[in-house]
Amino acid sequence: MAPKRDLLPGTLDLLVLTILSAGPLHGYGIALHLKEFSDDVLQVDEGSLYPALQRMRQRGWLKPEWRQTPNHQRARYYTITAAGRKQLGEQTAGFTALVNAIHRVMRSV
Amino acid sequence: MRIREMLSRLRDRARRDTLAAELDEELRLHAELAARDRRRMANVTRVREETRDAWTLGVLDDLLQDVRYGARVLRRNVGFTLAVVLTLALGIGANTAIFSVVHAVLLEALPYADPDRLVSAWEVPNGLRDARYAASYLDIVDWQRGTKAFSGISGYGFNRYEITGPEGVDQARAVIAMPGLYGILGARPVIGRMPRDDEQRLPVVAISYRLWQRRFAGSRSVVGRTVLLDHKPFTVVGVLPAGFHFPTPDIDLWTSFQPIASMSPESPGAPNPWITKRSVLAFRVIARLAPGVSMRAAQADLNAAYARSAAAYPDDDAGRTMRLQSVRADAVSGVQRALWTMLGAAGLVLLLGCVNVAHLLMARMSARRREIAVRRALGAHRGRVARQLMTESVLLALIGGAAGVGVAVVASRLFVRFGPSDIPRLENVGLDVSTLAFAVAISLLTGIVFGVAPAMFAWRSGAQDALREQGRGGTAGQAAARARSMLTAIEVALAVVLLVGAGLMIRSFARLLSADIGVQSSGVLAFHVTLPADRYPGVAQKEAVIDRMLAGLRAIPGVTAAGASTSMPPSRMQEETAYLIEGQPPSTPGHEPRAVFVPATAGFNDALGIALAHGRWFTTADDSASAPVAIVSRSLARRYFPRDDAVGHRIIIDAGPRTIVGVVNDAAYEGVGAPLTPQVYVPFAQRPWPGVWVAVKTAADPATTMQPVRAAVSAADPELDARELEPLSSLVGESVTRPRFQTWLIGTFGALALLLATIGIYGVIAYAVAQRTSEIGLRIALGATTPRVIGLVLRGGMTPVIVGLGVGLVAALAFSRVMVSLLYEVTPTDPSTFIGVSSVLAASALLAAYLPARRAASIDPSAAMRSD
Repeated sequence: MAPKRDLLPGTLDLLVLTILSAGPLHGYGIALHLKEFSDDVLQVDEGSLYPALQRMRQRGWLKPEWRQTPNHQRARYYTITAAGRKQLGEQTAGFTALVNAIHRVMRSV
Repeated sequence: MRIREMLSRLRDRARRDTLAAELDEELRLHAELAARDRRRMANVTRVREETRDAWTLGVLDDLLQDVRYGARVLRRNVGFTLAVVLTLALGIGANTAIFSVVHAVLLEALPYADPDRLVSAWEVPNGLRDARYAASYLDIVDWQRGTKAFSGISGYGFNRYEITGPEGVDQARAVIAMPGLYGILGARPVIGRMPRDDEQRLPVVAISYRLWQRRFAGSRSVVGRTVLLDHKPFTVVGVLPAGFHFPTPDIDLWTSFQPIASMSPESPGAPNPWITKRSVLAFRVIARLAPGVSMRAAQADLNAAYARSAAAYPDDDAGRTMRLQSVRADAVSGVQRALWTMLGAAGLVLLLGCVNVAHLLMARMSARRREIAVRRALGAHRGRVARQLMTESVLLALIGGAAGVGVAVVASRLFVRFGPSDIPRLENVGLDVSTLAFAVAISLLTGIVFGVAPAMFAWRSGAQDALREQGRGGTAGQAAARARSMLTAIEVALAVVLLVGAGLMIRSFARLLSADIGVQSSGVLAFHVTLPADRYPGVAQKEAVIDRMLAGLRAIPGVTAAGASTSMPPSRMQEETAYLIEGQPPSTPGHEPRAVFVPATAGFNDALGIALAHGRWFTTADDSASAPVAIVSRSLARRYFPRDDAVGHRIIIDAGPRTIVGVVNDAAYEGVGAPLTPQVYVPFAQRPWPGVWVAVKTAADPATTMQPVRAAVSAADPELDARELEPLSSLVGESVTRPRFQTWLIGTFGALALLLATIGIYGVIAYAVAQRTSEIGLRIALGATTPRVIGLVLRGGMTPVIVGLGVGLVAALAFSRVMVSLLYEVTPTDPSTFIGVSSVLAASALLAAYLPARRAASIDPSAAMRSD
């Protein structure tokens, strides 16, 4: 198993929004997606994920909705809103700029 | 974005139960799926707790929780809560009520345009720093041209009118304006306009809102209508807004200059001295400072103009300087000191209430030690516990404040109803936003003040202390006892200050009531009669109708004397004059001695019981044709004739010498308790005036004599009537309305202070006795006698009382000085007041201490020692 990394501060929102931009998911689905697609490197604690979902809902980036899962379980699905997409765009740009800057510094030595 | 998030939070806070249920379902599914996938999951309870934070309001929720908890605690202790709320309601209510008066009278904007640029100007005679004289018409006209510091300067006089017409008869006071006055004030009528400067010679008038409502039922058609003022037609041109006062609240009419411009008191066509003579200082001066000009610069400019007048007319204008005063200071000059003093007194009452409440809270803290210790032991931070206690205190204060607003509503209604009518804008008093804000502010402040002690207590006490130190009075118990002694001393000191204030006012008022006004007011009726100039143009006609009227009055059964003059004691003074005793060196201009000048008829002295000291009073033989005579009052005679030989000498008034034919006792014409000005009486026939005050002395009941008096006046001439007819005693009573009101107020505060202090002392000692039950029981078991036990408790209880008395007396000596101007013939250090207050307080304290001491002595030792 690869070593687990804590998320960089502020990146959780960005990752959740990115995952949701592909389509609605419930909380467990988001956590699973994050873990699988990062090859188990990124792991989010439920104690961070659920408060973050509430916060983003309050900011109007997400819309929760009760739906049936394919296995006919009732689950709360989160859909990204227009405001959420706008936020995603801004955060992605900011994050890319940051990573590029870090890269440049690392290569300079 | 931020706002949106906050709104969401608020919305979520409201439906947090639904949200919590949804979250639980969401987490249940998460756990289920995690278990299926054999994944680890964080502790569900922790996730739930952390997520829930998203829909709380942080500190606010803590506060709500504290308030709910506090409310529960207060509900459980109804007796305690009631005692505290009642104490605070009285204190906060008194403060809010007095503040509502202070606000309406002293702080609220005056009803004029840009009122802070308005100034009044007074002539101050050199050497008489506190005197304020009006100015002459001609001088004011000169200053209108000769000054640059003002955007306007003008003058005004007063008149009293009878309004007649189909709506009935009304009495009203009027301001007669020189041109420019209303522009300077920036008076804005609600309908119509003010009299214009080009209407100097036209009879036009603007009326007060009050008169408009009362007499014309608020009809808009009043503008343009004709009203009869003293039977002369005036055109109403405007109505002023409610609350517009100029210069005092008792004015209902504002006219142009016409009444004076057209007036000639002696006979028609004769020059009017109010306009033609510079020595007649008949007009009050008001001005508006020009933009950018300071008060000081304006005063210098006006003084330069005055100096030019003085140089040009040395006989009339010399020996005085001009002093400017802000109109606000002017309007409230008499009441400012009194109101701030009352607010201070109310503040002391509240402080006293706070001390009482603080003690109650402290006493209860001992009972709650266990509860607090348990909360600390369960992990509550000391700050959190202190905050909880502070919340309780503030909650108590706010409940007290709400009740206090109720008290204030009642009290301020009483003020408006029974307060002295000469306090400007008193009828505007009421609860408005700023008064309510004041009530909330002092409630919060109060809660913090008396909440500090318990909160400190909670802060200091460790988690284990209280559990360990059960009951048996350890060191913390001693510290609390010291704190209680200090509270008692503070309480007594505050009460001393208040009671000294109240005592001084009461003594002063008693002196005022028994002040010698020089007349016998019992059985005397007084009224005013105006003699219209068209019906009574000359001396002979005036004399004839007054003689006829007086003869009719004297014929009423029971009437023993009747007389008339232009003034009426104790407060209706018509005129003052400068005088000179023949043979004395003339005084420097501006320093002439002055006297109340009273043209009077035969019988006036008998009707009022003004005792004759030497010589004689006037008879009907002293008429316009006979030799000019005068009667002077004793204070004047004593000044110039130490050997009592005034009769036969001559006094010069208005350049004419008059022979002094009598000396009478002094009478007050400028108000009860005001410094006495000497009086000079002259025969009415030698100095007639188109209106007189009449005094009728009756052996019968004055009330039943009123009707015959009216009849006798109408019999003399149906066009005349007796106005303001009332017993002289009501005139005397009216003259002391304000001191009576002040005395009543501060007396109430004093009584409250005494009550609170007594209750406080009782509470402290009773509590101390309860705390020491087992100790006292032990002493009794060891043989202490009843007197010894009582002595022990009294000593402990009275020591802080004596300390407080000492501190309070010193503080009262320092504070009572602010009351000097409110006191009549009582010094602020009046020893008997100080001694009386100390004794009353010591006696109440002793009584308050004796009751628990008795109880201590009757403790059953065996029961007490078993009790804990």
